[in-house]
Parts: sequence; structure tokens; C-alpha cells
Amino acid sequence: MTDAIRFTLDGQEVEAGPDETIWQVAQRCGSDIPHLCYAPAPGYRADGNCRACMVEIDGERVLAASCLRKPTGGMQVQTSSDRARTAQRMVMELLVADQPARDVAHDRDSRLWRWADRLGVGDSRFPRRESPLSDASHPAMRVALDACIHCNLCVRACREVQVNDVIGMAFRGHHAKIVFDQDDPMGASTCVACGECVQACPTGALMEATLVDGQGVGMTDGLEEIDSICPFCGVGCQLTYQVRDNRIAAVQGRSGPSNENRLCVKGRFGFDYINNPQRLTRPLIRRDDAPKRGDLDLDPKNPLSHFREASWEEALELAASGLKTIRDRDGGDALSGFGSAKCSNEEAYLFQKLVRTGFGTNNVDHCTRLCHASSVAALLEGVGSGAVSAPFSAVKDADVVIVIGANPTENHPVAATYFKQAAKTGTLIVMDPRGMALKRHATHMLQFKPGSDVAMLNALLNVIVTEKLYDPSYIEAHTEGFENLKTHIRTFTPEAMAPVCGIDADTLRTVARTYATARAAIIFWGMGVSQHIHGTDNCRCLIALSLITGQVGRPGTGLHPLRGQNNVQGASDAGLIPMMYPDYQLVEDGDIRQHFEDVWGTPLDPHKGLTVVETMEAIHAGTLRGMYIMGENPAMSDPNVQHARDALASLEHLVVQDIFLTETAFHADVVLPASAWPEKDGTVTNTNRQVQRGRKAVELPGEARQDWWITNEIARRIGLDWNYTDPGEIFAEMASVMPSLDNITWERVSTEESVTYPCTAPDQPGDEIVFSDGFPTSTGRGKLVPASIIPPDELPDETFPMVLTTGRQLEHWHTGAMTRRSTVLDELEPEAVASLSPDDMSRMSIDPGDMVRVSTRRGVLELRARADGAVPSGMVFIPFCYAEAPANVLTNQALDPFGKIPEFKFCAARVDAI
Amino acid sequence: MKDVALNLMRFFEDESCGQCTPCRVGTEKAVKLMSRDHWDEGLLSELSRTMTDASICGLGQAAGNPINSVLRYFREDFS
Repeated sequence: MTDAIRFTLDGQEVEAGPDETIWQVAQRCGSDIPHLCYAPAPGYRADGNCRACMVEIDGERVLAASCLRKPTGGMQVQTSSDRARTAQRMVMELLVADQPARDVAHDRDSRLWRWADRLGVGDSRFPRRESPLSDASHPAMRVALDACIHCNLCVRACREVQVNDVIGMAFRGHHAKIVFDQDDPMGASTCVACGECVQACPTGALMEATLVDGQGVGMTDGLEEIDSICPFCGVGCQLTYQVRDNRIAAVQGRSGPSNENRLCVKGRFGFDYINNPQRLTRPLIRRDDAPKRGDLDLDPKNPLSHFREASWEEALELAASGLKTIRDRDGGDALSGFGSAKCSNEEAYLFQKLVRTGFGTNNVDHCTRLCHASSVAALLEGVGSGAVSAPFSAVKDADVVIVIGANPTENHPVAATYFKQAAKTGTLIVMDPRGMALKRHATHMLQFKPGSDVAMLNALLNVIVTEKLYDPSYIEAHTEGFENLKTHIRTFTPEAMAPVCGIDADTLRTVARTYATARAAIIFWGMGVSQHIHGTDNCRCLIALSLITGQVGRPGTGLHPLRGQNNVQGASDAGLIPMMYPDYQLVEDGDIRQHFEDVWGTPLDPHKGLTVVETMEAIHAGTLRGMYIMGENPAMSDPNVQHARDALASLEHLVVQDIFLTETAFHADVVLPASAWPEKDGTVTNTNRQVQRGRKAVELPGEARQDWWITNEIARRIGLDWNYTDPGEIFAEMASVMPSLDNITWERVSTEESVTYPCTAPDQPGDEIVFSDGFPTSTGRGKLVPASIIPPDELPDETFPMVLTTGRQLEHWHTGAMTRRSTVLDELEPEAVASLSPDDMSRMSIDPGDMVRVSTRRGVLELRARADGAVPSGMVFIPFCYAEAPANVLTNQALDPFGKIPEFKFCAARVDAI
Repeated sequence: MKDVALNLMRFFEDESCGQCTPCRVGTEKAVKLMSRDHWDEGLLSELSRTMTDASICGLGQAAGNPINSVLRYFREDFS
């Protein structure tokens, strides 16, 4: 050990590293010093306020807090001398004095009580203080400050780890207390319910509401713990389910590479959807007296109004025979399958294999088409790989971070914690038409005009080229097309683009210089970039920015499209894409097709298949007659959704496999009850390319079945000789056709919990950062593709003078099938809202909470208005998760020509007071 | 002199910032114990020692002095 510090700890000569504290050295040497306000966890600095970890240092007048104190050479430290132990015990006795009695404690097994036991402190000789009242105002958490020891771990959790700045320590002396905002009830505060404070609290003063009874007495005994992954967003947080009586009682964050123990409100409090009474538990077959209609609105609580229950045998036979009949009569292209990015890699692989080898078509797609298809198109063209070049945790090595067209505090909340932390020491540049929460942490906020992405980004490229801020040696060595780009970009001066994008020329210059001259800069983007008819062009500009400045392939640099669904990366990798086999191998390449025909032992369709929106058009055109949909909800997620619903209703045969009677299942002939994520084993791949292991924690309800089992059964019934018996076997087959999974096995992921691809050897960690030496393109060079300004497909006019944009909310996931059925999440955001700027609202005499009518050329919705200062004047934002007011009734199905992604982020709309 | 010491302890209780346990809780408990007719001398001495040994700043470290002084120099007040 270089710079080792030698000192004596409890009579033993020991060595400490330059940054190690006495507590850490003692821990390493096997001695556990009492500690309450110190949490040896990532992101938590030592604070030294509880004084439970006091040690005696020879020659010093008073004791020292070992969690803060670093040893010096020759120091003599005693951790359990009489003097040190007396102080440790006395601190514990002072704290225990004010605690609720242990038999009625909020958490009888809290760290405080465990340390009290170890130090032999049972009762306290001190008189009690008056107990503060508890606060049950929040649906997910209970605040009982009678157990608070003022260790401020919750303050650090809220302010430093999650960077939400809600919890603070107010007042002084023994009047000091934890407060939310201005001493508001927790439920009325700006708390985003990430629950980090609950996880950090060492006493039970902050508890999950599900782990205490009505009197606040803890119910923490007998919880079984199962490690898994969060099923909501692409961050892929590792978590631990705490299960009792086949129910998930609580969830704790686990130390995964993408979350370091952190979770958000969905991952911590959003799991009881799996116990919702609306869960499908028996196969359903459409009743003969229940004809399909595109505008059919069923009550998912009562599926028997249109369906009858059936045995698995009957349902599978009917599901498969309907598909088989169409295939044999009209050919494979009359069938299509939608898989899901909510399912596992194994399920995705199996599903696309069923469509390709069983249906005999490449008509297989999933919701990646609706989120990052344009990003993937641009990335494959530019850098030869659709995945991220670096994990989002690379922000810790970056000095400039750009977040464009993404709202991570709502959509990737745990990734956002890393961005907010990075903003404390580095430069954060946020670009978005909406002024989202990250704005508060940003050095520069470029709130540009909606749809003007290319104008703004080209102006940045213009500054970098004109001022020669690019990296000539990187361009020379690793790119192609620079001269062409240089010529193209000449006219896009900041002065010319300022009126187009609404950002002044000086700001554009400053931001361009900041990015280009940074030591290490990284770009993150989301659906605000991709969901436009010019989505691919938007991404081409971002790729060009990164390539001409050499801001890629090094620590702290890169291109990172923030993936939405928990397994959208993995499902895309596994081949749920109509033009590609697993690992993005083109179906129209003869050699590749030959390879897959050999491996799968059957001839394959030589033509690329239909994408999500094209599928609906083909149904309307009458060429597509039957569908098998696993876990997708196009009847909520497609643009111009009434058009999609009409299509689904007109199908001759529709098989839906899901956990609830979704809006898509309304139009089904057969509904197959499937498995929720906590009920199955499988792997998922997050936005950082980390392949992680999900585990079954609870039993399937009723007759519901594993998704891979259902797909296997359908395959057998349409003539395939399949006999898969477990997900591990499927993973092995999948890995054998996917070079990206080289050196990654089911066993390895199960043991190591998370393995990043690409990975060069079975005993090596995967490569977090790729493109350090060129690109996996045919030339080995990154391709610079110039982009011109294309206006959005439907511009505002006199009749529809506003811009409608859609997206998600922190509490709700995608089409709401899961989160609207989660008690806590639906209580936090219970109804559909249209967010408007306060200016527009006062102009139109609309008060917050009033009902408004939002209309576009495609439909009309009536919902409540919400005043939102983040929304610019002239815009209305509607989340698309509400079945009672589905935003996609309004959206435009115009497509990006390359990614085939619809323009969810822009269409002309009008808002009227009712 | 016990009342003088209690008054001094109330001063420390009032001035405590509340950051560390020995001072925040210690001064509050000391005031309660010293308000009683009968002082638990052993407990107060122990508490005083920990406040001195384990508080973060000089305020908490000095807060036990009134207890120590009265116990040492004004024994007659305890008869």
C-alpha cells in the first residue's frame, strides 16, 4: 500500500490508506464500532453527529468520532477502552430514553435497537421527553418523529443522495426536528416519494406505511427477502423484495451498478398492482354475442361481459388454430406479433423466433418503435451500434453534461440523481421546450421552440466548425464525411438559427464552446429528440456534435439515448424488430438469413416486416388478418389511437397475452393470463447495456402462466417442435446466436447479478465504455450525416393554434396498465390532467382544476387543467397513461422516414374552457 | 447553588445547536434531572463526563462544568 499510514488500533499495528477513516480501518480489521448517523453506503458522507462511534486516541483531551477521523502515523487508538465504551453506551442510553417502548417500536429490529442490544443498553435511566405527533399524511410512508435521533441520514438521503432537497433540519437544540419543506405534512410537501429516507432511517422514525400497523407498531417480522431488478424504467435498479404470505410487503434498494441502493417511487412503492383484483387468472374466450367494435369500452373489472372463462387447453387450441388458419390460407405476411419490452430477454427471443419460424414472417415489432427507433436508426448508421456508448454513471467523470429532450427526474428518476449530483461540480446543460425539474440544477437551460431541434443543434455545429473548436486528429482518424458536413453547416449560423429555435446567438455560441472545449462531455437524450418526424435527423446532429469534438470513447464522454422500458434494450437486442434478427443482423442480408435458417432449421422470410404503425395500416388495408400480442398495449400507446383501435377490432383473429384486460385485450378473441415480473425468472438488459437477473418472488395467481410457457405452447400448436423447459435453456440458445452476449451465461448473470456487454472473457467485467478505438461500422469510421430543417408534420394554424406534446409522469408507467392499478401510485396521481402555462390559463380564463376540452384533427378529450410553469405559452402537455382520457386519441401518426417512429411530441391542438 | 447550576444548565440547553447527541439530549436530560429535589449524582456525573468527552464543540464539552463544580465544591447543598 503506497502512502500507507501505520498506527495502532486496539494494540494491533495496522495500516490505513490515505483516505481511510479509523472506522473503516477497524471494519476492515474485523472490529465493528457502533454507529448510527454513519451509513457505510455509496453517496453517504460521514457526518459525525450521533457520537456513537467515539474512540480514544492517546494524548488527546477528548474522544474522537471514528467515522470522520483519519489516522496519522504512530497514532494509538482504542475503540473499546473504558472511556470510549462509556461514551458509546451513554450516547445510546440518551437516545433510547426518548424512544417508544421496544415492544411497540415502529421497527423493533432497527439499527438503533440492534446497537443498543450489542452495547447492553436496555432501559434508560433518563426521563423521557414529550413525544411529537406522528404524520400519516403520505400514502406510502409514515413519519413518527418520536423515534427520531436527529442523525440527519434522511437529510443527506434527500439532499445529497437523491438531490431532491425536500427534507431539512429545522429549529435548534432539543427543539431540532426533521421537516419537509416549510414544516409541511409529508403528504403535502414536494416530496417525490423516492423513499430513500425510509431506507436510510436507522430507527423506524420513517417507515414504509405497509410495514407498520394503524398504531404505528412495526410489522417487520417474518419477511422473506428475494433479490431482483425493478420492472419499471430502463435504469434497471437492483432491488430486494420483502415478501410475506406471497405478497410483496416492501422493497429495498440494492447495490447495483446503475442504482447503488437507490430507487424511485415506482420501484419502491409501486408493486401491489400484481395483487390487484383485476388480475387475469383464467384464460378468456370472446363470447359469440359480444361483437368487436373499435370504440368498445369495457370494464376491466368485469371481463365476463364480453368473454367467457375457458380451460388452458381450449384457449390455447383456439388461439393457435386461428393463427394457423390465417397463415395456411393467406400466408405468413397476413400475421403479425407484437412482443414487449416489459418482458424478459428470454421471452423476447422466443417470441420473435415464434413469429419468424412459426408464422413465417418478419412482422414482429414492439414499443421500441414508439420510443427510440429513430435513435437506433441514426446510431446504426453513424456509429454502427444502437446501444449507448457509455453508462449514465459516466457523468461522474464528465465536466460537461448535456441532457436534451429528456425529463429524467420523472422518467429515469434514479439516473437523474446522478445528473443532479454531477451538476454540483460540473456543467449541466439542459435543452428542452419544457422547463423540467432538472432546470433548477442546470448551468444553462435552452428552452427552445418545439420541433426546432435541428436548427438549434446545427447552430452549435456551425459554431464548432467556424471557430475551429473541433478535434482535427480525431476527425482524421475516426470519422468520414466531415468536409460534407462542414459545407452543409455553413449557413446555419447562430444568428440565422436564433429566430428559428428561440435561443439567442450568444447562448448558442457559449454552449457550443462549452461542449466542444470540455475535457470530457457526454450527451443524454430521450423521447423529446426521437419522437419527431425528424427524430433521426435530431440524433444525427447529436452524433455529429460528439464525433467532431472527439467527445466519445473516453471516460466521461459519449452518446447515451436513455432507454425507456426496463427491457427495451434487451428486447431490441433479442430481435423484436421487423428488419433485424437478434443482435441487429439484417433479415434482408442473404448470408445472415442463411445462418439463421441453419440454426433454426427452417426457411425464413427474406423481406423485412412491418413496424408498429405500419401494422395498423396493413390491417386497415385488409392484408393483415391475425395478431398475437404479448404484453403490449397499442390501443393506448399508438398515435391516433382510435385508428389503431379500429384496426385491432377489425382483425379476424387477435390473441392477447397479458396480466390485465388492457384496452388492447378489449378487441381480443382469446386472452391468455400471463405473469407479472415479480412472478418470473429471467434476464433484462438496462440502458447501460447491463444484463441483470430478475427472480421470482411470489407465486402466479390462479391459473396464470409464465409467458415463455404460453409462447412455447402456441408454437407447438402451430406446428413447431418446441419443448423449452426453463428460461436458462432459452438464454443459452439466445446467447449462441448473439455475439454481443459472448462470455455471458445464465449462470454468470445469476451469480454476478449484473454483467455488461460487450464482454471479452468469462472472468472479465464487460466494457462499460465502447468506441475507444473506432466504430463497428463497415469502414471502422463514424459517419457524419448532415441534417436539414424539416418542420413538424402538423403546424399550428388558426383552428388549432397550440402545440400538443405528450409524455409520462413520475408516478405512472407507459399506458398505466400497471401503475394505475398500484394503490400508492394512483393515489399520488389519480386523474388525467392537461398541463398548461399559467399565462395561457389566465388568458383563457381557466383556473387550475377546471375541465378543459383539448382537440386535434383526430379527436377530442375532456380533462382537468393543471397550471405548470414548466410548460411554455402555446403548448399543452398531456401524459398518455390515462385510459379515461387517452392522450393518443389526439396524436399524429406521421412517421420519421428512417426510424418509422411517430411524432408524439408535436401536433396542432386547440384548448377550450368548458 | 443547585439552582445556580440548574440556571447555568438551562443556558447551555438553550444555546445548544442540536447537532450532536451528548449536547442536544444531554443538556435537556440534565435540566430535567437537576430540576428534581433529589439529584442522581452518579448519573449526572456519568452524563457530564460523556458530554465533555463526546460533544463536538466547546459548548457541549463545557456544559457539564456546573454539575461538576456544584458536586465538588458545594457538598453542603446536598446534605
